[in-house]
Amino acid sequence: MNAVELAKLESLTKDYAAFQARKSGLATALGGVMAVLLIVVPLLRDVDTPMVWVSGVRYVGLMLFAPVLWLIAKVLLGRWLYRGAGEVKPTPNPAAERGRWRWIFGISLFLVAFLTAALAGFATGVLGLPHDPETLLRARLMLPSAWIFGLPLLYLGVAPFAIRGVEEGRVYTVLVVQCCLWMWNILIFGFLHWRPGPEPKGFTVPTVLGVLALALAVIVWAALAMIRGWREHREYLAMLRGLQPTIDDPSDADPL
Amino acid sequence: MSEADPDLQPILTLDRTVHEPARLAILTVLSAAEEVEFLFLQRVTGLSKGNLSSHTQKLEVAGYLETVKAFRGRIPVTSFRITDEGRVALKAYHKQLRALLPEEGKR
Repeated sequence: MNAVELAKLESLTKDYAAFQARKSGLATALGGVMAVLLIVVPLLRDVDTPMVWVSGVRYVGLMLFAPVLWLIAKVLLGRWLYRGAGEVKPTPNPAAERGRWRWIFGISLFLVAFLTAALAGFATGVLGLPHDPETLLRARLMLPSAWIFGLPLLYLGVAPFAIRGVEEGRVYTVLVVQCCLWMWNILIFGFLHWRPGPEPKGFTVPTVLGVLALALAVIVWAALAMIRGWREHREYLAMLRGLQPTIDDPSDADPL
Repeated sequence: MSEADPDLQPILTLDRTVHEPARLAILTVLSAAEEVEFLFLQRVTGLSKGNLSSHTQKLEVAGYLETVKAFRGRIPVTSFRITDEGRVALKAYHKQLRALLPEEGKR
C-alpha cells in the first residue's frame, strides 16, 4: 500500500462522512417533487377553498403535513439509501463548531419568522378579515375543526430535527426544500382569503401577482432541489464505486 | 544477537503495529473521521470479518483505537474511533517512513 493509495483512502472516507452529514440526495429531490405537486394538484381540480379533498384527504391537511412528511421521508431515505456501506461520522471542524450557536440561533429565528408568518396568514385567512359582525360570526362558525390549528404546531415539533446540529441547519438544500413547502403554506393561508360562502373570491391584482410570484419562486426552488438531489445521489453512487477493497485478503490467516 | 547495522536501525524502529498494511489502512481511515462503523471499514479494506476484528483488537490493545458498541434499533452496531495515541503513532510512522525514503521518493 503506497502513499497515493493511503491518501485516496483518507479522501474517500472524508467525502463519505461529509456526504452522510450534509447531503440528502434523493430526499432533496423528493422535497422538490412534493413542492411542485402541492402547486399542481389543486390546479387540476376545481378548487373553491383550501379545504378541497384530495384522494379522501383534506388538501389543507396534506399541505400542513408536507414538511413533516418530508423530514420523515428524508430520515428514512437516508437510512435506506445512504447507510448501506456503514455510518461514518465526520471529524468535527473547530471553525464550524465556533459558529455553531450563531447558526442555530439564526436558523431558529428564521423558523420562528416563517412559523409566525404562516400562523398569521392562517388566522387571517380563516377569519377572512370580515368587515361586518354577521360575516364575522359566520366565519367563526365555519372555522375548521381544532386539529387543523394544532397542525402548524407540528413544525415546532420537527424544528429540532431541522436544526439538528449545525450540519442540518447549514444544508442548503434542506433549507431550500423547507422554504418551498413553508412558502406554499404561507401562500395558501396568507393570500387565498378563506371566506365562508360558496361565491367565488374576488382576487385583487396585487394578490394575484403575489400568488404568481410566490408560485414561481416555489417552482424554481423545487427545480433546483430536484437537480441538486439527483446530482448528490449520483455523487454517492460514484463514491460507492470507489469503495473498492484496498488490501488483498486472500485468506483468513492470522494477522501478524 | 549481533548489533544491528546502523543503516537498518531506523527500519527496525518502525512501529510494527502500524506498519502492517491492514492496520495502516484501518488507522488511515479512522484518522479521517470521528467514528467509523465496522461495515465501512470492512467494505473499504476488503478484509474478512475475522481478520478485521483481529486487527482492530490488536490496535485496541496497543491503545490506538477504541471500540464503540451501540444499538440501532435492536441491531448491535460496532464502530471505532482513533485515539490520540493512535494519531500520534500514525503521524510518527509517516515521518519515519518519509525519513527512510531517498530524496526523489519524498516528492
